[in-house]
Formats: sequence, C-alpha cells, structure tokens
Amino acid sequence: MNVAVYVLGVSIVMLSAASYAFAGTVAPEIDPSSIAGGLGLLAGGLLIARARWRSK
Amino acid sequence: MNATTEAPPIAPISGWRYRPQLALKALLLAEVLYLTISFDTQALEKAPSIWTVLIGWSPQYLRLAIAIAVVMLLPGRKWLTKVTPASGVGSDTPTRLPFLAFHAVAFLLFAWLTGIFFVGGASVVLHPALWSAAWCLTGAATLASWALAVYPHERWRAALIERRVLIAWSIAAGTTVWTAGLLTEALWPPLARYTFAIVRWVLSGLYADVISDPDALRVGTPAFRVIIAPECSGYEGVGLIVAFLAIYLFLFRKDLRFPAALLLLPLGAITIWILNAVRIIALVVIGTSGWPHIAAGGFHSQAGWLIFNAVGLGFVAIINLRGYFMVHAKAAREVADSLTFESTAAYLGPFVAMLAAAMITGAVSAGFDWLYALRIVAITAVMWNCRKTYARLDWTCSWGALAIGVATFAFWVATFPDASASKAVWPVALQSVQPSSAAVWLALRLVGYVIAVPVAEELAFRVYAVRRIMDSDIESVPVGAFSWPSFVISSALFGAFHGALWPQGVIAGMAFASALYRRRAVGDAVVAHATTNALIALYVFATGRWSVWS
Repeated sequence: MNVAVYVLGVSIVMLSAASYAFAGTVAPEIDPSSIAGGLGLLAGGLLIARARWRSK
Repeated sequence: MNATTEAPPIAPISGWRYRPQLALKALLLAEVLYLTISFDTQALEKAPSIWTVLIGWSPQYLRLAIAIAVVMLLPGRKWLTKVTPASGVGSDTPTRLPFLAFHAVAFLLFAWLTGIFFVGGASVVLHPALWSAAWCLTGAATLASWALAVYPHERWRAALIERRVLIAWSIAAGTTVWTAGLLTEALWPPLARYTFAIVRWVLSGLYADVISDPDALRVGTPAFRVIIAPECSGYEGVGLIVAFLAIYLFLFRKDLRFPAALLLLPLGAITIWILNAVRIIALVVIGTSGWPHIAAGGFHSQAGWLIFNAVGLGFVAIINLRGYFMVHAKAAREVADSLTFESTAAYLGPFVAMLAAAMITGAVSAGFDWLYALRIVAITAVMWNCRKTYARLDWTCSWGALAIGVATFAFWVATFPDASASKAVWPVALQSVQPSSAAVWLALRLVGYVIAVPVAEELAFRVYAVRRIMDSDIESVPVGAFSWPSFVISSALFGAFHGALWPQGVIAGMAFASALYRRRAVGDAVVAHATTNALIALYVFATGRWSVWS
C-alpha cells in the first residue's frame, strides 16, 4: 500500500512537470539559455527560506 | 575481490566495491547523451515510411523511459541499494567482462547504424523495414549487454519478481505522465487566444491606437507589435509553477494541511498566467516608449524567469510567514535553528543576490549589461550583512592554491572553443561610449570577475553545496570535508552555471574544490578561482580574444 501511495505521489509531481519537461517545443516565454540562473535563483531562495522558516 | 558461485547476499552499498556499477551507469548515461546530442530525428519524422516515422519517435521513447525510471527510482531507491551485490559478483568478476566487451561492440554498431539511418541514405529509403529491424536489434543488444555487465541475470530476474508491483505501477504512472505531456500541447492555441484578449483589452485602455489582428494573434501599437504565439501563451510558466508547487507540496507534505494545500496548484497557475499577460503588456509598453531593443532583448528573455521566481518564492513566503495551509501555524513563524539560517544566508546569499541582480539588470538591457556593477553591489551588501559568519572560516591561502588557479587557467584557454563569440559584443559596445565610461565599466567588470564572483561562488559551491549534499545540517560537516558524491555533484552544479562551457566548468569546479581540500581553507579555493579569472582577463587584454572572458 505504501508503494502505491508513494508512486501516486511521485506521479502527481511528474504529471505537473510533464507539461514543461515533455513539451516538444521550447517556448520563448521562458528563455532556455537562462535556465541555470532562473532555477539557481529559485533553488537558492528556497533553501534560504526553508532554513529561516523550518518548523520545529 | 573474489568471484563466488553462490547467490550473493543482499547488503547495502558500501565503499569502493560499488564503483564498477557507478562507472557502468555513467557509461550508459554518456552513451545516451552522445546519441541524443549527435543525431537529429526530425528528418525521419517527415519520411514516407511508417518504419522511419516510428524510429523518428525515439526521443519520445527515451522520455517515456525516463518518466518510468523516475517514478520507479524515487520510491525504489532504498530497494536498489539492497539489490547491489555485496560480494565480488557484480563488480569485476571475469565472467561479466565478455558482456562489457559485447556491449562495446553492440554500441559501436548501434551508433554506426543510427548515423546512417538518421541521415537517411538511399539504401534506407529502399529497405526501411530491414534497416529498422537492424536498428532495433542492435539497440536491444546494447541495452541487454549493458544490463548483464552491471548485474548477473539471476539478480535481474529476482529483482523483477520481487518488485513486480512497483514496476507495474511505475510503468502505468510513467506512461500516464508521458501521455499527459503530449496531450497538453493541444491546450496551447486556446490559451493563447485568452492571453491575446486580456492583452488587447488592457492595451486599449492605455493607448488610443491599438493594433490587433485576432487571426494572427498580433497585438500592439503602431510603434511596437507582438505576436502571441501558442508557445507564448503562458502555458510554460503554468507548467513550471505547478511543477514547482507540486514538488514543494510533496517534499514538505508533513508540514502542510491537506487537501487545503492542493489549492496552491490552481492558485499558482492562475497567478502566473495573469502575470504572463502583464509581461506581454509591459513588453509592448517598453517597446512603444522608445526602447524596442530592450523589449525584444533582455526584457523578453528575463521577465519570464523573474515572474516565475517571484511567484514561486512568493507563495513559499506566504505559506511560511502566514502559516496558511500549514499543520502548525505557530511553528511556521518560529526560527528552527538560527545558526543554520545564518550559515545558509551567509554562504548562499551572495550567490543568490548575484543571480537576482544579473537577472534584473539583464531584463533592462539590450544585449549588453551596462549595469553589471549592481552585481558587485548586491554581493557586497549581503556579505557585509553576514560578515560575522565569515569569521569562522579559514581565509588563509597558499602557493598551492595559486598553482591550481594557473593550471585551471591553462586548461580553460586550451579547451575553449574557437568558434564561440558570445562575448564579442563587448568591444563594439564599449567603443560606442566615451573612453572614460568604457574604462570605468571594464574596471568594475574586472573587480566583479576577479574578486566578487570568486568569493560568492566559492562560498556557495565549496562551503555550502559540498556540505549540504553531505548533510542537511551543514554546520555538522566541517568545511573542506570530502566525499565523492558531494565533490562530483557540487562540481557538476558549478559547471551547469557555465552554459555551453559546462564541461570546462565541471573540471574547474573540481580543481577549486581540490584547492579547498588540501588545507580546508576557503581562502585557497577563492585564491585559485580568482587567479584563474584574473589570468583569463589578462589573456583577453593581451590577445583580444574577448569571447574567452565569460
């Protein structure tokens, strides 16, 4: 049962990512050449935010 | 290590015995990367034969396999560590070497056939079924021989039987994910029409002479017009933000209140879709106001990322500050560990500030970043705010670090591709202004490149990332502590920030990490990095090869 729930959880995450990750065309709305900077900023901001607000 | 004829005991991965499996997995990854980078399947998709069209879909098969693998590996990673043989079986057993040799031959044959097939010679056109069968057979042989080189077939069979439920679930879920990704592209055109309607409505309130063509989805003013292509409809931002929020919900599910927290997904999607319309409106306004190069250049390129980051981090801040959707709202407002936060902010903050400044100044540029100095200001401001934390680090340096920096410079210049001319715009831009202005910009660029950037990057990658990969509590790991995963992953991350020069970036990251490991002094890593950058700048001034300065 745990495996089924876990797989479903991962699938939901993947499903939401599918639109971006599996799209056949690179849309100019999000510049692919800036992907490292864009995702780096998001990941860095998230790590700092989580370090600040991590619940006890 | 000795080979054994008995069924190997199941035990966790440990030590050096796991390296052959890692090397074989890296080999397969490298082979897949080589094939996907080297060959383009677009020509096959247009070929008249059903066989060539089916083979032309191979990138989709790869995506399907990745989807299934990700779904399977995330819950099954603990199981995977257990099926790894603890004994010599599965590592350097002589009986498995023939499979490795067979794999090498099969891969070479497969790559050769792929080259012929994807170019589409006359023989392929005459006998497409024959070529397709040969391509499939060699591909299957390549995969099968690789699998048998990694583990014996008994182990694969036992694993398949033991985890058949997980495998079945993963195939079903991965296929669903892959299919959904394909089907959702159909939503692009209608979404573009709604975006067009909003943009036209707002612009009509701002300008009296709005030009709009609903059929071509063209909208704007006589001075500046845009076409809202289906790919520009806001769909990509929606996909990214929903993916980000879904991952956030999944990772921090214990802190969040369900099903209420699921509301974040549609809220995020609607917010970023509206902001994408605002982005297009701003694009027209900037272009119409006399800055068409900025609108079509930096703003068009960076605004999407800025909006995505603002919405993503904004949602995280709202959730944590206000306690919405959280199980324990009070806990959300408490600082768990001030030391961890101070360290994270001090080591990661300068780099994050640098990225944010680069993105913002890039958005208001027309191809040349005149406001580069703001990056230095951003890094300095964060470092000044966190200055007490840096006192805990060893900032001394050695001649060895200097030597590593020189060697990295030599490697960088020697491997730099001649064709790259991404920074060749510098001389042209600098010649367009007063010499004094150009000199000031170059001086600030030099300060940023040789001092500010090395400090920010070494703090982020060598002081923070290396330790964060080893333990979520970075203060429990001493600066300069070594492990293979943290060394490789942090260097790979460093390389990822160097665009097309990522291989050189990875090697440089490893070199700077080595400088740190020698004496566990962050000063060594910074000096090595700064030396490399300073020599690159000098080399550029001496030779005029501006493209090297990246």
